[in-house]
This record gives sequence, structure tokens and C-alpha cells, in this order.
Amino acid sequence: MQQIRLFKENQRLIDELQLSSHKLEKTINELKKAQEQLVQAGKMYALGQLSAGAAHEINNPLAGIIGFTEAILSDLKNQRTIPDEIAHDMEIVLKNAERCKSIIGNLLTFARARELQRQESDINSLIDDALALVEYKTRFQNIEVVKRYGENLDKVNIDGDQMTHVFINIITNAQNAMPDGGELLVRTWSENNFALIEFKDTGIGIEKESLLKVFDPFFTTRQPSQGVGLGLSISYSIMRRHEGSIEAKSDGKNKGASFIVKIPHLTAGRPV
Amino acid sequence: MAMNKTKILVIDDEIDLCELFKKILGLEGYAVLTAQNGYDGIKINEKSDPDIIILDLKMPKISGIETLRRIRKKDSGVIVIIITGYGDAETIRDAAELNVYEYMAKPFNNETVIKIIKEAVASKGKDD
Repeated sequence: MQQIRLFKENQRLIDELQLSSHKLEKTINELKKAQEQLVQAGKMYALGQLSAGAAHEINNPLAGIIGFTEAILSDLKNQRTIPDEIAHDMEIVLKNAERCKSIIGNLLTFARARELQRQESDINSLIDDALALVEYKTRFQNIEVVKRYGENLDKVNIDGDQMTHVFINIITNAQNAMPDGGELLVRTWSENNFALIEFKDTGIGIEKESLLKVFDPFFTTRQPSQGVGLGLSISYSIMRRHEGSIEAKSDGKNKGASFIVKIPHLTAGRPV
Repeated sequence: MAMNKTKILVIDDEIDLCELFKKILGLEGYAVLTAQNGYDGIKINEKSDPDIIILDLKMPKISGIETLRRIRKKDSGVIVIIITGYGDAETIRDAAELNVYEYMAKPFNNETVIKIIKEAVASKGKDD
């Protein structure tokens, strides 16, 4: 009798377990669905934000193109034909048309996400290449570049061109933050199977509210002619595709800023 | 024809657009002042007491809405026309709460700008 009771009890427990298992499976499926919806909503929100940013950026130079073209036509119709003035207005039209071209070019770069062409690379050499490419501005603005490179850093498996693009974006931002000169410290080291690179400037710094947005598309604290604010977004995207990261830090206004890039080390020919 | 002495202050970080407003509104006989950011705009507003302000919403350093708030604290009567390359509903609502006369989207036609300014001047004449 006892054995029968035990058997029935076991059976009951098995039935309960099966029921719980079914419920758990159902909950997991619902959670997966909710997560997919959240990700999709997030993507749509991001797409919306990107579209809004793009619209704003394009509409400004378009206003210049339309406005000055109408002004030129009006001058010609009303026989207010001062050649220097018309030439000046047309130069503004051309400049804003070029600006539209540049904005769309940046958008395409951001959207294209070119497939990575990875190869074994030495981080210190790549940084030197990037610094060399923007050296003229560094010298012109009296910016001192201080290098503290880690020795014998393990190689990384990266798309050298795209990583150079990231470094140039960061260095250019640092240059723009130090219009009257300053110091740019570049440091490399290894930690927990990652190569880390820090670019630290002594420039105008980044305020707390802006720090949360620096990697957002079209976010910029500069004048429109100085860029549309896609450089760091593009850099962020490149780092994500390398399974790495990029982070910005600053103690606030006029206290400089630091950008830290993390790249997984190469191990047996594949990123760790 | 008597010169129109209405003073217009344009606050927009787009230098070319400031120049455009100076040109097209200057030809209509208005005196046009410009500022490339909200802080300068607020200073010029206090110093020059314009009749109309054309104010861009999205600017670095200080936003158009914050600029408008600070202007309204000291000058509730000045006519303000906002312009923007992209206005989300929340920002436009904030602007409406700050007693904005009109809203213009960029890009705009010069004729539309002149028409709105003339209407704003006429409305100011009625209120004075």
C-alpha cells in the first residue's frame, strides 16, 4: 500500500513538474516576444531620432540654398545686378550644396556598415598613423601630443582602415576642444584580454548632460560649419562591430575629456 | 516712401541664414541685427530692444526654448517668430506656451518670411 501511495505521489509530482515546465516554456516565449518587440521599438525609435536629426541637418543648408537662390533671382528681375554681390550669394549657395553633399555622405557611411576586413594589427602603429594624418592641425594649434604606449602589446584582429577612422574622429574632437592649444595624452595598455587606448585632452571638457549624448547621431556642441555630429556615432558603430567599446569621460566644463577604446586581443587568430 | 524703422533681431547659429535675413529684410527697409547663439541674442535684445525676434530652436550652448524663456522673463511683449529645421511636438508645445507669434519651418521661401514679418508689424501697430 505504501508503495502504491509513493507511486501515486511521484506521479503527482511528475504531473506538477510537467505543468510547471509548460508554464515556464510559455513565459519564456512571452518574454522573448516582448524582448523582440522592445528591440524593434528601440530600433524604430533610433531610426526616428536619426531621421529627425538628418532632417534638421539637411534643412539648414537647404534654407541657405533656396533663400539665396530666390534672392539672386529677385535681384536679377529687379535689375539689382551688382556682380560682386551676386557672386557672393552664389558662393553661399554652392557652399551649402557642398554641405548637403557632406551630410549625406556621412549618413551613408553611418548606414553602410561596411563589412570588416580584419587583419592582424599593431595598435601603437595604427595610432601613430592616425596622428600623422592630422599632424598639421596639431602643430598649428600648439597641441602637445604625449605618448605612453604599452610595450609588447598583443596583436589585435581588426579592420585597420576603420579603426584609424575611429582614432582620427577622437583626435579631431580633441583638437576641436583645444582651439588655443593644450595637451593630448595617448596611452595604450592591456587588461583582461583587451587592448585599451586612452585619448585624454586638456580642452573644454564635456558637461554631464552632454556626456550621455556624445555618441548619439547628429549630437554636437559645435557650430554647424564645424561638423554635423556623426563622427562619434560612426566610431561607436565601428567599435561595436569589432566586439569592442568606446567610452567618454569628463569632469565637466573646461576640465578636459577622455575617450577610452577597448579592443579584444587576438588569440589563436580570432578575437577573444 | 518713409523708411520702416522696425527693428528685427535674428538669433540663429547658421551664419548664412543670418546673412540671408539681413539681405531680404534689409531690402524691405527693416533694421536687422543678428546673433549666433542664445546668450548673445539675450544681450542684444536687452541692449537694442527689437520689435521682432526671429529665433532658431536648435542651437548649441543654449537652446532656443531656454533663450525664449529668459527673454520672456524680461520682455513679455516682444513678438517672437520661431524657425527650425525640425520641430518635434514637445518643443513646439513649449514654444507655444511662451507666447510665440508664428512658427516657420526651414527651408522657407523669402516671400513667406516677408509676409509674416509684415503681418507681425501690422499686429504690433494695432497693439501699441
